[in-house]
Amino acid sequence: MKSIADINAIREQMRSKVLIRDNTKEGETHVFVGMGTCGIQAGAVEVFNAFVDEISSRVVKNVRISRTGCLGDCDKEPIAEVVLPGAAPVRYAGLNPAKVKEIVEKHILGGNAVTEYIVK
Amino acid sequence: MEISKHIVDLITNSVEALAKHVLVMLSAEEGGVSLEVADDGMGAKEGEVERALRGEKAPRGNGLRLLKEQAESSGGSFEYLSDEKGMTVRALLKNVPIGKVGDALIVFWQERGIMDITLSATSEKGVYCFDTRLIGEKYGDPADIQTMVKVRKDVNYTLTNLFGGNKE
Repeated sequence: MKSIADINAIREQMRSKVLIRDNTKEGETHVFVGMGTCGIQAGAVEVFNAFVDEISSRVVKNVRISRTGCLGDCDKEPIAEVVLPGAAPVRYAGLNPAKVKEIVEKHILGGNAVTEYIVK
Repeated sequence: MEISKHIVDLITNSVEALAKHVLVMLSAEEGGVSLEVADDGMGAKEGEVERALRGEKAPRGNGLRLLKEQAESSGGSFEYLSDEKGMTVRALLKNVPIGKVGDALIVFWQERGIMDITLSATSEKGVYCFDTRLIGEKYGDPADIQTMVKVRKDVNYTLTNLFGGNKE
């Protein structure tokens, strides 16, 4: 049995998650990088910053990069999801800055997912 | 693991504890760097951190175990305090690189407004303060990714000057 305080806490937790997800504006691409302990150890901070580098160094508008919690595939970290406007999320695993560059060029700019890095 | 990555892990715990404010304090002392992260979240569940620190499987707190192990094996120390008003973690790490703290802080860019971060850093070379609430005033439009890059560069550069290490 959960107390009122527990329920309020869960509601607050969901609210903050929804806020982050709902922050995506129409026509905006959203990149989520898994930032659990497993991800951080595997290089998620470098992957997050590689997305920032690749997006900021090109004239690309409407791309938002966010952290998210552990995505549940700890042995496949670093993991990121790319959500193009109106498209289903594409989840990539085993990322590094070189792969991020390729994903930005081919998927975010070119519109074609890089199938070889997609989580199997 | 570099200190900057422990910072990402600790602030992630604060996000999950629904903190509205996190204070990160770095100071050079006793041949190492003291790291303290304090938040006003709802703290850890009873016994959760202890289980993680003992190496048992726990949904959260594994990062704390890594920090404790690294701090103690470096000749430093680790302590934490958690109750319903928040959590404070303090570690002294000796001869552990500071890493890129700017890279670490921008990971929480989208949390601005939901959870604010204050960073204070002190060494014999000076004092530095950063607050996510002042990004718009000091660096430019937070919605512009170039502002994110500016903040990252500034924090990395300043903390490298204070604590040493590679600048980029």
